[in-house]
Amino acid sequence: MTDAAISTAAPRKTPQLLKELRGLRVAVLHPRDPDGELLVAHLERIGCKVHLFWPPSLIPPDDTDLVFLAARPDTLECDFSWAYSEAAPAIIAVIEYENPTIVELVLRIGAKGVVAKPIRTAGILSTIVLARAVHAEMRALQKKAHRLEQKLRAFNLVSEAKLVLIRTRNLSEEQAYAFLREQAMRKRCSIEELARAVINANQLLGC
Amino acid sequence: MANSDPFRVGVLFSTSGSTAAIEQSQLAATLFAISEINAAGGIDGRPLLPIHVDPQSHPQRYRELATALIVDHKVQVIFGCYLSSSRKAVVPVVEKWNRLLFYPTLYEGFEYSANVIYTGAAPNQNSVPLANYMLQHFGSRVSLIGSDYIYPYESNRIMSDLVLQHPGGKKLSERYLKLGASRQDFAKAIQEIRHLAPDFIFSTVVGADTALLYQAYAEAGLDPLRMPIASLTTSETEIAQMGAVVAAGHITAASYFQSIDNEENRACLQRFFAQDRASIQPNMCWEAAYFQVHLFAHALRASGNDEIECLRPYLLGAEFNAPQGRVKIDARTHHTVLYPRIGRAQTNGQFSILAQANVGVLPDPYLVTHALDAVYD
Repeated sequence: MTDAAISTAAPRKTPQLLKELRGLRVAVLHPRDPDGELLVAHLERIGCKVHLFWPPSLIPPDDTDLVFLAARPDTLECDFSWAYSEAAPAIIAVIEYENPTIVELVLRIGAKGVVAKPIRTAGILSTIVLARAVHAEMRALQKKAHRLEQKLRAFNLVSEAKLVLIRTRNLSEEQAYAFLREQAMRKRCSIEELARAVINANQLLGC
Repeated sequence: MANSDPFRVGVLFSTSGSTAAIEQSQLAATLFAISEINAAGGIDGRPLLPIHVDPQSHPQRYRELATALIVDHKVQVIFGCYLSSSRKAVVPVVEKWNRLLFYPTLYEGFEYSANVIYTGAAPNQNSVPLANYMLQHFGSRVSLIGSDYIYPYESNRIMSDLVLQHPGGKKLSERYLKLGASRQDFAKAIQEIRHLAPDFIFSTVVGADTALLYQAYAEAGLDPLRMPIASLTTSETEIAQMGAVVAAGHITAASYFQSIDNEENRACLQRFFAQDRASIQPNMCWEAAYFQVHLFAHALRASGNDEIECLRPYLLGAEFNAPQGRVKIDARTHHTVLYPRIGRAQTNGQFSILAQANVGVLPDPYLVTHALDAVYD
């Protein structure tokens, strides 16, 4: 008997991104040609709610979860500003040419995945899941970065205001911080706002 | 002058190796259907000429022989494959040459090729009915055991999801044994399960190994009426290999059992056994292999040309009175509308049917999250 013949699998749970495939709202910005139809048919097979849009100047509906976008020479000049908005859906580029002009467009629209033509059904499901995972992860990281920037800005303001108080009122660092907090509570504002007011006042009075 | 040239068709089932027994039944069904078609005058006077090659249960050989059938034997259509690994090896070949593969085996889903017609069950047509039945009648604490390849992994994922949806549902263990594992490996696995005492065992062990699992269970003195093995692949063929007494009491979900009581099935079995094929036990894969040849023949008669682009319009949506009931190729998925059934093995090697769908169930090969719902009365 060999132990190698028997393996115990780690407990597996079906990831949420896979569960969400069914019912996903997908906009396909692609001409209604054999490739477009093949893509729509396969997305429907997977269980997505699919709408095909063309020309590419059309903007996908707000509740779209995912966009397949034909990156073609004739779409180079289109306005894809919707793709850069904060709530933009994940984008997968559908490409026929793989030259720098087209790949640059793929980068410009912020695609998180690529499907090459002629379209084969194998690989589409994985590309969708991967693109949505990367999109969600990037969005989460952007939010986190934004929060950290705000925190850092607040921290710098409070530090500067403390320095002003230490210098002008002869307070210790702890006392300066307690003062800021107390005043903020009394005036019902954030400690950052109060810190800013202290700094402004100091600049105005030119001490 | 009438053209009487035969239509050459490729037949790609193993007659040696670990899945030979079940694939020989698929081979026999394919040749049986072809003989019926030819006896009735072929395709407007042109007979079907089967060219069978033996890939010896090795995926690599399936790929090589599929290529040889297409390139050397000039076939447009191949009937074949049992394991998913063999189908995955052949699909790129038929896609490359734009030929058509008919695949008569249940599998784990998540595939669509414009070059394949799938006539076996997708998980929504067998896993869901089986989970429903087992959870209702035996309980929701389950041990999973399977052969170590893709079909068991995915089938067990689906079964786990279904069991965990049930109040109190619990997966007690999940084990995989290499294809060709030893008798002792199975005895050890059964001992582990005995200690866990689940409400039922879900097995995705396939091929000749199936017999070892059920024999180990019987040798451990366990009682199938209290803690049965439930399977999607243990058919009349595997039961003949392990011995009917060993199998008795265990449960299988399939769209076909020999014991189906209808005129179509009785007549079909009578014709089959009249051809002196007593060594073959008809089963779910045999039946799919049988009816898919007839669906092909109907489409070929309508199109007059066996090239895929000519056949496809006549195949998609096509219906046929198969032994299991009236089946239909679903144009959207290329899979087949089938009739899920639950059977319990009897001491005579046949199944008594405990439940069956009275309408065909649409295939849904891309369903990630299956819901427990009854498809039976």
